[in-house]
Amino acid sequence: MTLLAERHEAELHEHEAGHRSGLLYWLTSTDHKVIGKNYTYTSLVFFFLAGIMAMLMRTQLLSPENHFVNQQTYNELFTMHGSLMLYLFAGPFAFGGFANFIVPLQIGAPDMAFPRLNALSYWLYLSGGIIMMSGFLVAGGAADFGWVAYAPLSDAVNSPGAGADLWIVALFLTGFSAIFTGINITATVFGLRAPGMTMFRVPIFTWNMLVTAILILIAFPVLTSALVMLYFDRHFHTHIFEVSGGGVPVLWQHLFWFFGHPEVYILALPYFGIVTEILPVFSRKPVFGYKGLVFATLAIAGLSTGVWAHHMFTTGVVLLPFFSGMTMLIAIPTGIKYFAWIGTMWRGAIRFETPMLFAVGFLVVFLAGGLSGVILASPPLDFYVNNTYFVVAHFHQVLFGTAVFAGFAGVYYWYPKYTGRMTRRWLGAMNFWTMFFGFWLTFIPQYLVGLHGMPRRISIYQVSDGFTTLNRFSSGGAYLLGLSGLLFLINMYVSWRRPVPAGGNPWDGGTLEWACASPPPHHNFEKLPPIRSERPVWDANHGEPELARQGPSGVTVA
Amino acid sequence: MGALAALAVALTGCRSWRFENNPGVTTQGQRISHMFVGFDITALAVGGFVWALIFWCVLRYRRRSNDQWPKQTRYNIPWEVAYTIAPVFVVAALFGVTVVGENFVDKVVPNPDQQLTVTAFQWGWRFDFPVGNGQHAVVVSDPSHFQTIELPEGQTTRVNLVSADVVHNFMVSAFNFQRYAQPGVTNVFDFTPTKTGTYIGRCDFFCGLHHDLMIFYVKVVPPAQFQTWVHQHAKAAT
Amino acid sequence: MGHGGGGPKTYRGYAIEARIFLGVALFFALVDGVYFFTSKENSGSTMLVMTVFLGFLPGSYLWWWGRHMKPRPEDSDSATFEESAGTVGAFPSSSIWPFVFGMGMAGVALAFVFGAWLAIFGGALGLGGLVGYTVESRRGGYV
Repeated sequence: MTLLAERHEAELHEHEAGHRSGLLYWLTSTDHKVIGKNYTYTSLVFFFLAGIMAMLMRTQLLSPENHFVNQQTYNELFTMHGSLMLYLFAGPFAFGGFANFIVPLQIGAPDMAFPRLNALSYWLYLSGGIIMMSGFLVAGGAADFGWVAYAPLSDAVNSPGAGADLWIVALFLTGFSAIFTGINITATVFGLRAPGMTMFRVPIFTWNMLVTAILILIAFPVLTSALVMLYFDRHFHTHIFEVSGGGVPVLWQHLFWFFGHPEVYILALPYFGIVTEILPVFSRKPVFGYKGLVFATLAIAGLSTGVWAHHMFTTGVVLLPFFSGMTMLIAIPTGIKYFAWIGTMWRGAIRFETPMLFAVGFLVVFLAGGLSGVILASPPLDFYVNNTYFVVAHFHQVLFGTAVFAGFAGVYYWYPKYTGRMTRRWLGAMNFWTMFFGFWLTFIPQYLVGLHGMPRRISIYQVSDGFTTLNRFSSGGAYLLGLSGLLFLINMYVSWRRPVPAGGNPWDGGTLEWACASPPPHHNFEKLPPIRSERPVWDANHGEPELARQGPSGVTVA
Repeated sequence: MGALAALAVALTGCRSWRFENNPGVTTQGQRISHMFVGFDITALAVGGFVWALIFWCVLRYRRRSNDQWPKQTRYNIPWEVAYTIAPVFVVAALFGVTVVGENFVDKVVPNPDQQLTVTAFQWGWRFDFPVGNGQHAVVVSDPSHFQTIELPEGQTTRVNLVSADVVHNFMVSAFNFQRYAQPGVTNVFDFTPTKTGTYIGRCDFFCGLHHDLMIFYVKVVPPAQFQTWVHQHAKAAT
Repeated sequence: MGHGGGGPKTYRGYAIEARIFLGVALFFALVDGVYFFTSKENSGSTMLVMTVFLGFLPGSYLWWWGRHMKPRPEDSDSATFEESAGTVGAFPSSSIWPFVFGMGMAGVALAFVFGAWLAIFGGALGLGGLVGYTVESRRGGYV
């Protein structure tokens, strides 16, 4: 009996025995597809909540000395906007949502290595997210010290409320959620690949998720430890970060950024992987420079762990050349990736379905973010623009470019696999173009106003500052981005309610997830094609048999 | 996007040829401004090249028919080596320029012309100029009163920056400079202003409720005028 | 390693996986060496040393086990689907215990904000969840 036949028997019995449905099914499911969808929906909810917070902030900044919200509320808004986007949306959307659903499918596995641990990760994430948001309901308001919570601002004297403690324990829970997911992804990719799926045939998305998982294991425990230390300082009268007790406030910054910088690569690498899946399919060519992409991903991950103090250049207490040099080095593997992506499109036969629109949008947007990052990597230039809107524009370019452009690309690409339906192409195009124009309109003025000296995290600026016009353009762009979000939701809704059936492989994709039905059945695969390259489904549908795949470049397919 | 660029140019006039950077009114700040222009040019060149490649692909390699199957190129070793090596040169050059510039900006001279101790607190600044004979000119700026301090043009002022409570950030945007004020740490740096004028200073690191109101002004004046001002304030303090 | 037109290859078990983790250990040892001797900064140096151990522990285990295990179908270039016949692993399809344990952990977390009494409920749920998890694993099915 093949493994699948055995499994089928067990499933039939299970369904006959106690058919679970509705709430109980949702609470007890350990199926990676169900958990992946849970993560996707939950993280999108946090995305839209944080987006509303952003629009409230942009409204406050429409005019000098505006009083749309007071200073305390504004401080809570930017803290929670950042925290929700970084901790509760961008990461879980990628390694909880996409990785859970797609990685087992791409390697031909029936599920993740530890299905119950997977479910636990989701419940920790959901409860952590709710606990963080509940800060808005307590007397002192939500956490208001920025998503970075620098000591001494975050200590018991300066931030005494329950909102801060709720933020800390919420991150403790979501941190463990991430760590468990990291373990799960690593074990799955190492141990559950299908026959013939050697490591160098694994799709680049799965490689990126593997490297992300390792980065999670490196970074999140440091955050968790730092949070424990902060909690102890706040409640148990230790003085780890307090000068008066012999502590060192700068230690918080070292600890936090040792987590914080790998964190932003944890948020970026999965989305690089998504783009690397989409570009070949819609260009009708294989990935260009596969091995280079793998090594570049490993290089980016390794280097990213050694650059944490580039967030601390202006503290005056870090070794500037080391961190500046390491940071600039990251530009090299990132450049390798960019040229490999362009090489994938080069001389291809490109069709601009919605996923491809968003993927190319990512390429255009992220490039500017990367370049402004190289500028920031130079300490003297950082002395000029650190903590101004120049930095805000930089990180929104990179984060929005990855999590939103590439993330939405992934949603549109895999929506047929998740639901068995196609999305509306014209609505997808409208979603893209409003987002693209809204994005540039929001953030180019922010680069400029940062160069003019506008700091970040301020709710009030003066008429005499001369920031008004640029802020108004930026806020207009933000409203356009809000509209694009609405269009996304409308597309999701319309495509669900009036379905257009998708079939198993609507995009003519090459990787294994397109070998099963849409949506995939329980434990995924009825049968698997032979795996002889990184795109087994393509080989099965279009290829010459066997080992010509591994040969020299330029095999023309008739 | 072109409209936005035109708008930006129109709005800001003389800064536009410097890609919107401040020219910098200290020797340190001017160096930073020059570096910034260099980096901007490099960034735009690299960005322009890569964007051009992307747009070329987008325009030139569209699918004309459903039967179009392009050459399935998986790798091209010479190109891969080239695009791995070329960025190394660019990065090395940028890093070299950075180290030289950094050393210049952070250099502190052995005998500055004037000392200044700046204490940042929630939510204002305390400026302490020692004027000799144990006398100090003290100016305190807070949200109800944004104060102005003066600095001597052409002379080097040594700033010793401390914080009384949380992390603050002493920033004078026109100087293209900022430095954190952190409890337990004294940051030391020099300014050598080159142009008279009044420049706004702010706290540039989030420090609590009234962070946006930690404003002060720096007025750069000829040295004689500065001496008058600072001695006036020293007398007032005693 | 997979390029070129030669015959199909079989990799030794966990070869690449071990090298990834051992590579992590080696890379961070080098970075830490440079960092510590140039900056003498303690917190970063310590965190980098810990990262070396993070790479070394799984990496060395996988390296050792890879030398002793039988070759797996997924490490062979030319394996077929039939070679993976038989049980792949245990994949419990449904379990209430992750939810219970998760809620227990959340309850304990809230105890750190609102008072130790919450830890009683959270702890009870958590402990119950842990017991349920373990018993379910032993019985190989749903509990």
